[in-house]
Amino acid sequence: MKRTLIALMLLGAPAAAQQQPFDMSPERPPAETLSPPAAEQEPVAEPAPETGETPTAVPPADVRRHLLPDGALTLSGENPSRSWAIHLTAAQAVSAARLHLAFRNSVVVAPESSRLRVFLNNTLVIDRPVQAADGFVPIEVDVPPALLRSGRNEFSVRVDHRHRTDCTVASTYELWTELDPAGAYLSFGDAAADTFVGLTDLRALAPGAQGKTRIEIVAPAMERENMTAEILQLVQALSLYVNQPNQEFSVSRSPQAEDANLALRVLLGTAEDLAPYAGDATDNAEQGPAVSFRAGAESVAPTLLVSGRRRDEWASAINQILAPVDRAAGSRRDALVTENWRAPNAPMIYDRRSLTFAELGIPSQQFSGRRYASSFTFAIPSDFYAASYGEARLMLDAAFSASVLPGSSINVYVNGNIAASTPLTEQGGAIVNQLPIKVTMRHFRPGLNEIMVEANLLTEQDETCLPGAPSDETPRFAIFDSSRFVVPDYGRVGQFPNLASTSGTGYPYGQADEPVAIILDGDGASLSAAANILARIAVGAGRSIPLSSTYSTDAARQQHAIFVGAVNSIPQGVLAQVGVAEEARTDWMPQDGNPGAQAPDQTNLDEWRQRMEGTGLSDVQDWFSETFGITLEMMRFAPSDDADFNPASDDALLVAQGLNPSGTGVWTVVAAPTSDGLKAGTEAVSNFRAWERLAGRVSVVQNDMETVTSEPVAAFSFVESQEPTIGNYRLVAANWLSANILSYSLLLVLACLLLGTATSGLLSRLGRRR
Amino acid sequence: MSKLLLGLLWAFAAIVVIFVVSLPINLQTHLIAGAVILALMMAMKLFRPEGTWRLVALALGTAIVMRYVYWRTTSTLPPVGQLENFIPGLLLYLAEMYSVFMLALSLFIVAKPLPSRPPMPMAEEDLPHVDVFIPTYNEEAVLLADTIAAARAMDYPPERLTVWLLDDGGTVQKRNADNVVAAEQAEERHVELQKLCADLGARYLTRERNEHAKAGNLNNGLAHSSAALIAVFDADHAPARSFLRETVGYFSEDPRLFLVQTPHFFLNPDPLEKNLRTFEKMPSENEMFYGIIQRGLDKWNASFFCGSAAVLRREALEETNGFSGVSITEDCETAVELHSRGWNSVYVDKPLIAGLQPATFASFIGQRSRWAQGMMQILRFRFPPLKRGLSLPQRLCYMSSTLFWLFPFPRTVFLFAPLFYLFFDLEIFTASGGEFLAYTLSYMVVNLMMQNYLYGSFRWPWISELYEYIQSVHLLPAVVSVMLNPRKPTFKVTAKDESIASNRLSELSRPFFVIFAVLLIGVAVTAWRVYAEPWKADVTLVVGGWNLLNLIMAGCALGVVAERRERAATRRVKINRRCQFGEEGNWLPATIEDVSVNGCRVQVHGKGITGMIESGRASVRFAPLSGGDPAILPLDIMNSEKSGEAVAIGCRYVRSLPEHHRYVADLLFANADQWSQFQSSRRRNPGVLMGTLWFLRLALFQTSRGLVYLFRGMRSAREQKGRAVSGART
Repeated sequence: MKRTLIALMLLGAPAAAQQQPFDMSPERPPAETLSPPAAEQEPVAEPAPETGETPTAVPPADVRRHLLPDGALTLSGENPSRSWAIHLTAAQAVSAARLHLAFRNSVVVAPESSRLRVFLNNTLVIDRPVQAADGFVPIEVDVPPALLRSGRNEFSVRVDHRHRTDCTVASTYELWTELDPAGAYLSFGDAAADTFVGLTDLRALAPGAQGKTRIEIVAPAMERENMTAEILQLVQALSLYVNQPNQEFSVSRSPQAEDANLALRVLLGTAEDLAPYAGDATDNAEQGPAVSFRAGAESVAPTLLVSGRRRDEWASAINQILAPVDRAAGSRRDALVTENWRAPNAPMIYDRRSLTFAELGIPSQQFSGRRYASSFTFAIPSDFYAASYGEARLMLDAAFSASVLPGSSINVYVNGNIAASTPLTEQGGAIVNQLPIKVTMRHFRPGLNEIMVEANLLTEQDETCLPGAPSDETPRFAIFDSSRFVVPDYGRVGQFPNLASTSGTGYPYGQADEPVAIILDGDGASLSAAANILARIAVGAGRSIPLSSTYSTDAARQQHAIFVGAVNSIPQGVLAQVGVAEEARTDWMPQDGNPGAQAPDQTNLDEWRQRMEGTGLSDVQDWFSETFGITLEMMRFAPSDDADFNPASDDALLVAQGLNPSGTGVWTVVAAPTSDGLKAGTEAVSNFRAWERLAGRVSVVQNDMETVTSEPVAAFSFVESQEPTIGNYRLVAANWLSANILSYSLLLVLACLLLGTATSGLLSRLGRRR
Repeated sequence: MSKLLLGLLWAFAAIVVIFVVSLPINLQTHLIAGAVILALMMAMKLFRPEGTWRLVALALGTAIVMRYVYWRTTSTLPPVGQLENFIPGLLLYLAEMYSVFMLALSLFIVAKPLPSRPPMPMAEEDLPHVDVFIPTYNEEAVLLADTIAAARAMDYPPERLTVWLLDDGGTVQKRNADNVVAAEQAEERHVELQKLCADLGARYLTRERNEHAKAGNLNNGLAHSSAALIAVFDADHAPARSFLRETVGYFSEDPRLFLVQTPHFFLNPDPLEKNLRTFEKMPSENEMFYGIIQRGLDKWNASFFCGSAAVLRREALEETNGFSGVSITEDCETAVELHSRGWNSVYVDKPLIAGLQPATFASFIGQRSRWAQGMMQILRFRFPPLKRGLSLPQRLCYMSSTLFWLFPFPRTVFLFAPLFYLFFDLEIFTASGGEFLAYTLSYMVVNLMMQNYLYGSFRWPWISELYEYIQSVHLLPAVVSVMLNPRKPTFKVTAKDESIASNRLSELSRPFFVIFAVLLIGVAVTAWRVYAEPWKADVTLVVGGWNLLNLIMAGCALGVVAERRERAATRRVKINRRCQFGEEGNWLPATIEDVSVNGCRVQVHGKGITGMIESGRASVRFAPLSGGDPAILPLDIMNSEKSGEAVAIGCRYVRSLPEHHRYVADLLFANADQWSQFQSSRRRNPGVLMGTLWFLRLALFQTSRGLVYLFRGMRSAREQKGRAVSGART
């Protein structure tokens, strides 16, 4: 493995002709391509504990640990792969285990040349043709003994797809394999695998069969005492342990009906309060603050007791849970922890930085298909302010063989938006060394970002595309992990409001030292909703946010605050403060039916209008805006004011942000027409995919609970987030002026006017005058 | 105090502009800013801004140029890893930065040129003694006669004016040359010129050996004369009557003044003007220098000696042991030396001499090679930017004057850079087609606008580029050679009296046709690549457009090297002077319409003219501007043309007596105002757009003319060859 990598790196230097594994000469049989990282087995670090059990004989699966953190996993394209971490308890690690998967694939996938490979801790455990076009096909294998470790394990799936009939780049989009969340799990022979012992075992909490990690908090006294702040503190602590992309909290007074998919039940309160539900498990709470898993639970889900004799004791028990995972406000993070659904973690890029593909998790690879695609993630701090001007670069080390025709291209997508397209113009193959590709930062957002590098490779062979011809595995393209992603220093200033930075890194709450006011409408539903929101904020911020619960808007006038509730229960004046029309209180009614039924007609009409007018001057306009990306609305001196937002009837949830009345903090309002709607809506955004789409000043989740739309912020308030330096001011100014184009022209003209006048004055006093 | 405050304000403004310009804004913002500034500059142009507004417009242009430099520096250089791209890319970058740097120096120099100076009248009795030096090497006696006669006729007390003919063609060394024929010619010349001087009241001086060329000759003159002021005229530069009156006064005003320089005005066109037929309507090449740049230099006390048409102070020259002769441009070198010693110079913006310039392309190139090499020598041996004693503005001024002559390098790079891409597929400029358009196009247009603001009516668009291109082809080797062997070049006298008997290609024309052909292939390659490689058509089109621009320039140059036959040996100057025409006892009223060195055209009224025309001989009688008795100048009648009452008669002078030279000089040179009028008639600013269209038309026509000359030349060569072969057979 190491040797191949070194050889590949040498290939970057044109000299090493002898040992090139990437051989472009056709007569040699297909080179033994880079085997996926784990072809050679790594020695397992920990010796298997002596348990006396025979690991091969796995009894019927009783204890299941589901594997897909985010529901069904679809792997599409020619060479998709995905890795993530699976945390196991010590008991699970030592138990004999079987790996179960269920997959299906697109009918156009050619089974003879397509393979599905699964690796556990870099060991190949499944390698089989992709042949499940008719429906989910279950697979079952024994996990080799001693392969699983206590704590973090790495799981990766890699698929190589080939199309049955087609050889075009477009056809590669038809290739997919889907894993079923219900069918993907580890089953343990040892019943002890089900028991959780210590706090660290919280990390091993697994998603359910739907790929959702559900946690129920039972606080019997919640209606008697105001426990809001403490409950939400607990929620944040748990979310930091669990850190799953799709986690859902519910808070209730008494345990809900048993649910096989419940990942954890937490009982919170004094020992006395909990006695009816916990039985003798509250015994150690009689001595003081106590956190323990309830032994011998009759419920399916593990149950955690957080208790004590009095309120202050269970409150300090919460702090015990929190302490190992919390982080001081203002301390820097190296990375955004995403490995539970995507490894490696996304490195935080605070300023100028250059990362190799090796660091970003893209290995050196050879590729013989048509569309190579590979992606990596990185994270950007919340005060990112360079979207209008910024430019990062990819410095690509790659090679393509003589069969690759010009017209092939390398495309770069940022968060799904095309950001660069570089044509390969050389004929006869080439090795490119640190080829710079400019990647605009326009689509960067605070928090997690994904960049996908895609190479579309055209060859003559593919143009002929002989039906039934065996797929040619001669590599056409190679990418080397010495390629780099280079980010320059960019403008950094905090912006209010900005839901994107709230969703990305929990900003500004994540940086708060003072408690953030949390204002609920007193309904149990709004507490669950707030729990889901705060869990996401805490995961984004990487720490728990100090909270104070209040019912009074006045108390929050000077503070950061979060309001959660049905729209008509949001206190007076708050909606206006976050730029939502007060009429929404009465006009915003839930509506069933087809979301956005009006929209398609509207766009069609616009399209028609454009098509009809698409001659003459507008052609020039189109060319202009295509070439230079200039549109009329960009021509402005300063941002216009934001109009109040009025939610539409098919909007299910609204998240709005604005400054507090004193201008010293940020208010965020999470509202829905009804309490039920609030619960459903916040559960929808508790999924990371929906959550990360929050942006602008107002975002709404539509009735389908998937579509998220947002209102962009026209006028930000800026908050200094950095040590004031001229360099940063310059970059911030560059971004503001790039967004307000005409102001730049005005500024330049004024500066020149000053210079010209000063020059004239100076010249009439310098040198000879007559 | 207010100067300091203003300086601070200026520095602040400059920092603000640099800050704003160097913001890393996006392409769209730049594009809009570029468009806004261009629109402003165009709108301001309509009001013909002067003073502050002109400087504001220039500041606007500077901002765009700086933005271009910022972009070019930060985003377009090829990666160092790709040496095959990086090295030519860096060369191109350096060439562009050189151009920008020269623009910056020009801006400094001509930001606020001095207005024309008022004359400095002096009391008659205070006028100092003046020695006039006319150095000569191989010029003909007739030419010298005109110059000497004009110098003698200058309005100055005769007892304080001595005219010296400094003959380097009749030195003892030449007369005793090993080559008998040459020695004989030198001896004849020696005798002839001595007689001429005696006739015209000048003094003849020659020396032992031809050491240090022109500088040595002038120094020999210094050693043998004694007047406080020295006026220097080239052998073909005849002064107007008012020359000394307009210049001498400044010396009494400033005791540290070493130089009063006046412009060189030419009666004949240079090869470009002649072959493109622009002499009558477009300002001459040197008008930019004498009309604007010298005035700009004058503001910074850095106007320098141009070898002729200047008055110098003996005291200053004695401090440096006369004229410096290290370089082959002794004039500028002397000025650098004296400026660095704290002496001052003054420039008088009024043509007070009229002279000749090289008429053929070859001699034009010869002259420019000397200038370029000389300036390189000055740069090498005196290095003005670091020369002690010069003020900062003077350093910048001399830097501009000397570094200017490096232009063949960037010109060559600009010429070949697009071919790197078109022929070899090298990417020496990393930018997308859109970026290239947005930045480079705005830069180029702004550059043209700025040139127009700076030199508007003195230099039309694209003409600078054309002059630089036609010189670069032959100057590049000359400049390289002087860089390798800085002491090698020797002073060569520029021939100015050649004439061209028939339409032909210049002997130096071959490289121009080769370059034209290569660029034409470049255009074909562009078309082919756009067709064959559609995936990079945008870049190909942009580079191809650049190549096309070069082709247009190269095509226009073909016209420059296709030399036209010239009928009149010298140009005619319109004077419209009253005279009488006829012979002794029979004078008819007449007007001299125009004059040249050889003859004149007279409009005669009255009857009885026919007999005179038949006789073929007549005279004109007129009152010389220098006063005294009426002058009678005998003429041969060459042709006549009746127009209504009057008859226009073309005549040639018959110079039989020494005073005839004086009369010709009086007609031709005495009145300096006529030259000013002629110049101002050409000083018209066509504007960037019209100027560009005009240039395109010109280029198209000249390309075809050059090609026609080429094919005709090839055909006649073939015929000659054929004749030779058939001749051999018989």
